[in-house]
Amino acid sequence: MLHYTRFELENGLIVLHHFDATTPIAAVNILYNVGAKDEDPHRTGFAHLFEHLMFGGSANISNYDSELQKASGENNAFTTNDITNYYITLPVNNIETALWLESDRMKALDFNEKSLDVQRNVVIEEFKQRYLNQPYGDAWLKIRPLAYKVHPYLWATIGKEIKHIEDATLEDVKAFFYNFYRPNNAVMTIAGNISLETTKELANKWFGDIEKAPVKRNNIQKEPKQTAERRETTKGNVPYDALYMAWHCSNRSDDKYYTTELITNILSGSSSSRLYNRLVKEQEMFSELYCYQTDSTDEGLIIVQGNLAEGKTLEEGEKAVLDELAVLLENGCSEAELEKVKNKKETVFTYSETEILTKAMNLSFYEYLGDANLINTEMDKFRKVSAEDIKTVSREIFTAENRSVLYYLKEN
Amino acid sequence: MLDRTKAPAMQQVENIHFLSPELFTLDNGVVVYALKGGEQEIIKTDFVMDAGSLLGNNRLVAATASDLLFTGANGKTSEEIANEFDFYGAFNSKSCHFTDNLITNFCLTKHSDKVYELLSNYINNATFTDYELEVYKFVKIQNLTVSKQKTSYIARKAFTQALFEGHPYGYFAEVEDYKYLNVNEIDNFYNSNKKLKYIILSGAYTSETISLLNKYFGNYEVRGSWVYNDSFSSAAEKIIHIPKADAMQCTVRLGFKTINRLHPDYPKLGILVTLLGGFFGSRLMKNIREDKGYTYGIHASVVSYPDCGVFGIQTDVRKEVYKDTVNEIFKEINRLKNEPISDEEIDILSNYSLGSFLRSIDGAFAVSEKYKTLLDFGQDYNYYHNYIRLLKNIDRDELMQIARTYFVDEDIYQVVAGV
Repeated sequence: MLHYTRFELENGLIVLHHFDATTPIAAVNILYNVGAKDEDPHRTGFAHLFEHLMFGGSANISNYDSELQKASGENNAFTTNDITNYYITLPVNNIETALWLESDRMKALDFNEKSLDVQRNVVIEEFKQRYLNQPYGDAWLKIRPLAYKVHPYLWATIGKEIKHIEDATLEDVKAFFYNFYRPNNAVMTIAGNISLETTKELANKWFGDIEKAPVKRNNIQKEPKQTAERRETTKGNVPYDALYMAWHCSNRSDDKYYTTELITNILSGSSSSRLYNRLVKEQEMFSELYCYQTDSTDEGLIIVQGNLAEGKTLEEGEKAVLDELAVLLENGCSEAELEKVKNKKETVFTYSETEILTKAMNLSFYEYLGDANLINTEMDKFRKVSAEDIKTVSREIFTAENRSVLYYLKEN
Repeated sequence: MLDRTKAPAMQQVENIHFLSPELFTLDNGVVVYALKGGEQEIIKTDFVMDAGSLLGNNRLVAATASDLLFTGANGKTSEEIANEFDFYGAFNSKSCHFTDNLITNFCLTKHSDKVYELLSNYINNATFTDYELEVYKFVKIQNLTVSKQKTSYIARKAFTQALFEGHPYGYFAEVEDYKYLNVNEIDNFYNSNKKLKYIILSGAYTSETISLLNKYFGNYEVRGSWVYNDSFSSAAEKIIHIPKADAMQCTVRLGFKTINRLHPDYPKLGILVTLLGGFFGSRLMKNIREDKGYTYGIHASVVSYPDCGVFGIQTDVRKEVYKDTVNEIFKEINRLKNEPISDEEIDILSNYSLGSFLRSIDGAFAVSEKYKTLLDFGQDYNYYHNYIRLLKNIDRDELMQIARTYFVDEDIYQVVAGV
């Protein structure tokens, strides 16, 4: 049981406090409820570019990083399709420095052309390094628009294309900031050897005077139910053909999420899992093969992806995957197999609670999902999944009309 | 009225508390270094074996034996063995280093009896089969073929090979090497070298955990002693260009062979390298990324091998600016030699590094990693006490001297892959 206290400032900032006296390190995690899905379809990649700009100085502090480093702190951030998350760890004695820095950039950024100019270039190099200069790196840029036609998950956090990043202006940056980076659109967790009383006092001192503002959001349309299989073929300079298959699955708050997660664990993720043993080892059909879900807040995808063995065709590979899935749909899984994947989850979950930063991040994330206490009920939900659920949910997900298939062919 | 222009009062990291290990000796003389901590009922056990890659005649054999552990024993298949570990929620990882082979296990304390029994059984009675080896070769060869398309891999390989021509440190497996592997040599290698050096236990263990380790590993064969000495030479040509027509970025790697942790100057060199490229606020990050926007990231590091060290800088930059990037790197190296570090930079470097060190020993699992490095080099916590003392009193003249001693422009290897 992880103990925490939740309180809200008058400006709507939600604060979670977790006391842990076993470590000299404190964690401050701020989650802003804005991600790539909130972007304009013609200006994608903006939430992520913005994350970079958050380090370019704020109204009263010209260099965020060096001030934090002087206080022995370290920080980073990440952007997903759903959220933008910033985190700091530092000695608990210096926690006020973290709050000073975070509150100043929540209050007002120092919007300047130099920072925008440099970070545009940095993000373009990141685009290349992660997506374009890696074998198969662009596959995700193709799967998303194949599987999603309406919902903004159809573009990746890095954006649809480099041009969108090149075109970003300072005016766009300002508008984005004052719309989304408001206290009433954020969840802050403070974890460490610090009392609740001090936490309340410091949160009010540094964040209390930041003005709240209404957040305007695009009306995000639910992805309509897919009714026919979708297929696409692409080519690249890669050594082996690769297969990507995507099926729509539940959103993060649905109980089916837990069943889906265990399904992916039965299929993949360990040397005892099914896809590896049948398709990599026994059939030597793929040199690697993975199954996972995208873990998104709205309705997500369950993905099977793998590199074909030299000499095997994509058609053979696809059939082998479908045959293996058919076994799951027909017979479900054994009680022992289900127990196995639950026990592995329990280890992962227990491990995650040994780290102060992970605890802080998880508290913010669960609160964003609707209730921080999910951190204490998550494992029970996995435990409740039955073998029957595995079969039922597998049958719902793994249908032909719910499927998108990308063939990634090697050139020549 | 709150004055936001002024930083709140800060304190320097003062008393750094080191978790002291409890030492236990198993019946066979194997020492267990036990680091207790954490409220979650989970433990990590590191089994350190003799079978490092410097031992094998074929350098790939040691790594393959390590990778293939748990793929067979007592007539069981790899899937059966994996199922048994998974059923108790246990995670195993194996890594083959130059002087040892490490098997790391995570499990919930409540399952330690079962999990140790499995580990002891399958480490002791490991078998290797043609079937598993063939699958392994097939997977490795394909993955290697994919890696060979990455400029980062191409540059790392060329750099390391130039530094250590013909020596195991410079070895990168080729497709042909995998083809020649056979089960007998792996079996021989494993069975002659599966000797236990020591164990590091960390997390929420109890006295029962120690008894269990003794029960399952107390009669295990103990290490002999071996000394490796092989000399290495470096390539004469220090500038290496490897073109790749379709690359969108190129990887730049610079560096040289240097001292390792056993040398008294090493901690100071480490501090200097942090300033140059070891963190987000480093000079290279500020210059190449934050000022010029050439790259997503640039990093410098110094690592310790058993009998030497390697200093290296690496970055992926757009092709048009690689020359300028190399020039700027040399410029930054020369600043280290000729310009005293400013007070503000010393303040940042010292405090950032102290915080970073504090984080690196936060919790029993983190300490276990640090502790293994100490054991590898026959050092104790005094090494870190000295490092902390140096961090709190950074001496700019001393660092300038270190830069002049260890950064010699003519000794620097330069690899560019992708243009």
